[in-house]
Amino acid sequence: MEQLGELQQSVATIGEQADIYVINSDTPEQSRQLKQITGISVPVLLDRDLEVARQYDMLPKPGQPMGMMEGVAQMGFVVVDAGGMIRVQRVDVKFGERGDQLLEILRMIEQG
Amino acid sequence: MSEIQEDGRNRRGSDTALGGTREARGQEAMESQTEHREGPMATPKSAHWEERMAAETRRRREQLVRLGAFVTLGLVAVGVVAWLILGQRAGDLGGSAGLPGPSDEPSITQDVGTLVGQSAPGFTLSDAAGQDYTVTPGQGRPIVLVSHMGIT
Repeated sequence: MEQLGELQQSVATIGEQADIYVINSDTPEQSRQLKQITGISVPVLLDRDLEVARQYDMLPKPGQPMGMMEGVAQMGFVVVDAGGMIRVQRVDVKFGERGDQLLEILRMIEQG
Repeated sequence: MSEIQEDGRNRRGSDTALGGTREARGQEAMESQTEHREGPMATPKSAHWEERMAAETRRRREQLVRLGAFVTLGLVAVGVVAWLILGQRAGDLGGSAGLPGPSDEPSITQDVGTLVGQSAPGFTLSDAAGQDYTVTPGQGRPIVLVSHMGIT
């Protein structure tokens, strides 16, 4: 949860360059709690059956940081460029600390 | 007369015996020559053959080693070329090549990369308030999807 709190410090800047969404499999009640605790201001979308996580291949796999977990999506991020192409697909349990990295990725994608 | 005749027979007998001995000696000589040809000369011939076989075996082994090395080098070269081409293609297609990579150890962060370079699928999900969000990639603005494990 603290990763979303960390990410919140960068979402305003990231939001200037990209649309940003958080996706998890929480219930609406859990999601409300999560937003209250972390203060995250971007849309938190509920992927109850993990369909989107599956589509983006973000379910845990052996050998990955959260590889032993089941029933949840991996922590991490996917960056899609303006043309709709997936450019980065990364598992990162400390994604909240990668605000600068995300901004650098977006800047480089924009520059082509 | 009788003694002379007898003596002559004895001599002939003796000559015959001598002749027999000579024949036997000749046979022995021939056998000796045969042995000499097949025995003492056969050994160097056999050793030479073995040397030739050993040399042939060494030559074939060296050929195999050279062939193996050549095939290995060829495979490595093909792999390097394929890697360069695929890397270039990933770059051309807009893959993650050239973008900042994972910035921590693999137990913390890893590139999944299985879908990099592919079109992002669109989807519709709702938030806790029941509001639907339709995410449609390729509308001229980058998208960051933060995957989170939830409150669990």
